[in-house]
Amino acid sequence: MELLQTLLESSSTPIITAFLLGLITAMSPCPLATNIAAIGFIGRDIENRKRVFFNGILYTLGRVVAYTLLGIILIVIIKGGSSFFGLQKFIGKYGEMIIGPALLLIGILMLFSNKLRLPSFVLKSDGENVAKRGSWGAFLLGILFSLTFCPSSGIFYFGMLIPLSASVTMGYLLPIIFAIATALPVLVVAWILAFSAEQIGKVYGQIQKIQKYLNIIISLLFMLIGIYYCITIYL
Amino acid sequence: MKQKALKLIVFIVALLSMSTVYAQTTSSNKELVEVIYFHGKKRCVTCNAIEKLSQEVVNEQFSSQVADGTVVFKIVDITTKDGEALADHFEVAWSSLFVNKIEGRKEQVNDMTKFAFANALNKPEEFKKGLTEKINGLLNGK
Repeated sequence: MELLQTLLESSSTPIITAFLLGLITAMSPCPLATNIAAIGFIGRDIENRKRVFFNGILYTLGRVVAYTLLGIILIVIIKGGSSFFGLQKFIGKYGEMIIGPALLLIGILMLFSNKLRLPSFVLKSDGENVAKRGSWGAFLLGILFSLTFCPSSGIFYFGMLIPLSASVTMGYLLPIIFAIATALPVLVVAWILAFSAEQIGKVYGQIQKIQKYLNIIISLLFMLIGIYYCITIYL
Repeated sequence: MKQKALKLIVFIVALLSMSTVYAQTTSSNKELVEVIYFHGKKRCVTCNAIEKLSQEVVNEQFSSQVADGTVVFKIVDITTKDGEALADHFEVAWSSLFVNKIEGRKEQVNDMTKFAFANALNKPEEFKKGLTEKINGLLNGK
């Protein structure tokens, strides 16, 4: 972290600054809980490593879309000479309020989706549809987690990245670089964990059993993190 | 006679209200440095470090100024009604650190949030040094 901070202070190239800001955002302790949830969600399909990869790509894409669209709006506001404080306050306030219940709901849905007779878009037994559902889930999770700012990621994004983006040519590209960097550490850990779990499963010849337990564990993880956020925000 | 008494009362009331106004203006003319740490419901590790270190700096380096009221340290929860009003005034949406100089109605605002986030966790001594220098600078009229 200290190394990244030092690099950031000495960086004068906007693209590198954006990338480092993204890495620091992802690795700061603040979004740890949501990052753990994301790692679990992306890496949970150990039976199919391709799906882990696609989940990762779509999670990253979700972050890119969220940070870039928001970035474009903010840069336009700055260039128009207005203050984006209202929008920043709105996102800060409501993002915090939504994240807890949302994670709790996702956890419950993941845990019971196999047991409940949910509409066909949620429950389809053939692999292809499940894969699609999982991937869209990763994309939406990327958007949700990007827009729930932590105090530190809020400062990095609204206070540093966006003013920098508004002041340089091609600044609209910087949120994309930032978004990819915020997803990278999560992707690497998810991939390593999924790979390790797959190897362990193979050694014991019980990959399906492990997969079953893993699904339950990750659902519970979402619910726990959701409850944790609900307690910190509402109590 | 009655009229005279009424005039006297009006005169006394006017005099009293003028003296209160005068007292208010003189007290608000006082120069002071306020260190404000804002926080929301989510308290990140860096935010907690900023709060702790700022409090340490104010208590250890400026205890006499705190005692005579020239340095004030405030912790503001932006999710409360009063806190939100103050946060809106400074355009604060997340944990932030402000070191302001107040001279009467004049307010010199210094947003030290970026400096705080860059240093509080990894270089706490540098953070304390920077904050001390800032407060000293403002106290000495810089």
